[in-house]
Amino acid sequence: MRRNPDPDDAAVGHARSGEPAAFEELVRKYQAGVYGYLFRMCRNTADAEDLSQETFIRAWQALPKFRQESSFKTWLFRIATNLCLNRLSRTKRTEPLDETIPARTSDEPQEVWHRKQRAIAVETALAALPPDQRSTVILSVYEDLSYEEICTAMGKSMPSVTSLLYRARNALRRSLHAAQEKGIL
Amino acid sequence: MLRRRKAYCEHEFSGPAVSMKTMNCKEARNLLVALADGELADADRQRIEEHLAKCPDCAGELSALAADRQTLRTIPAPEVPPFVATRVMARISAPAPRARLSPALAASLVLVTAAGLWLGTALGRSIIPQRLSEEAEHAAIAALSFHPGIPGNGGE
Repeated sequence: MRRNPDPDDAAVGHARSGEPAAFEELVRKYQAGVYGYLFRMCRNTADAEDLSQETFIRAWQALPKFRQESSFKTWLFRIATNLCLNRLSRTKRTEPLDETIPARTSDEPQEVWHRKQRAIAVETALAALPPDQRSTVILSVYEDLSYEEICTAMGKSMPSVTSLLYRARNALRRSLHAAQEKGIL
Repeated sequence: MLRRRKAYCEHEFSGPAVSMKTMNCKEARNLLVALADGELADADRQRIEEHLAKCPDCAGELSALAADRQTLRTIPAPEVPPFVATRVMARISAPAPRARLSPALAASLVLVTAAGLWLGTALGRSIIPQRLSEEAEHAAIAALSFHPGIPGNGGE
């Protein structure tokens, strides 16, 4: 299936020819997005960092097999998603999420404290979603993947992805509405 | 930023079949998330917009979903730890780990090496004053060849 031209085609071509510098260019371009995605999914720094490195290592090893039917970015997030969902399915969370909003300190500006409250409310709402729903939201909202790209990244059909997004966004709507009722959002 | 989005086809959506009649609220609600995300095909978008023009509840829900998306995006991105790229490139550039010998194979190689040295010394001594008898020489070589620990000699 032919896809639109990918801005990474040149770098990918050089990397596939065995040029590490070209691959490093891709790593630096996508490390923030990949790490951000994995951190929001795993909710801890150690796993996010470990899985980020593993994502890029696997991408380097699999480059010869990358057929460029999707963009490099989408393919990279597919690797990250597979690693992350496998890790989450094996890991049982023993500590409950800390939903406590810290008390405002006396020298903390009102706006800064309010921003903290909003961040905690949103992160709590996201973390409450099942991993596959959370993944669709993060890929859509934070990584700007289209629904079609999310299908590729998650290895799911369009009906599955739209259903996951529908449920996830409605669950978030309820959580965020509750935060609005409390005056947090 | 130009975003390349291909709107999905109406028939691929898993929700209730969207007929060509006027859309009701239940049908509209199923499509609001995709509409808020800019992912609806033209035909569906036109029909739902016609419904929204007449339904303040669904229109309000769409506004709330769009606002939610904005709220989600106001949360700052997690800070990337330093050296992620450096560590990745270091692992890519590291030489492949050497294959480790099994203890049995290592012991066999030591034995063969020792036997070889002994035989070489013995043969060397024997050449100057005298040679080993041919029989003794063949027997020594045969003993090494049939050592059970040497791969490929049927001893494994």
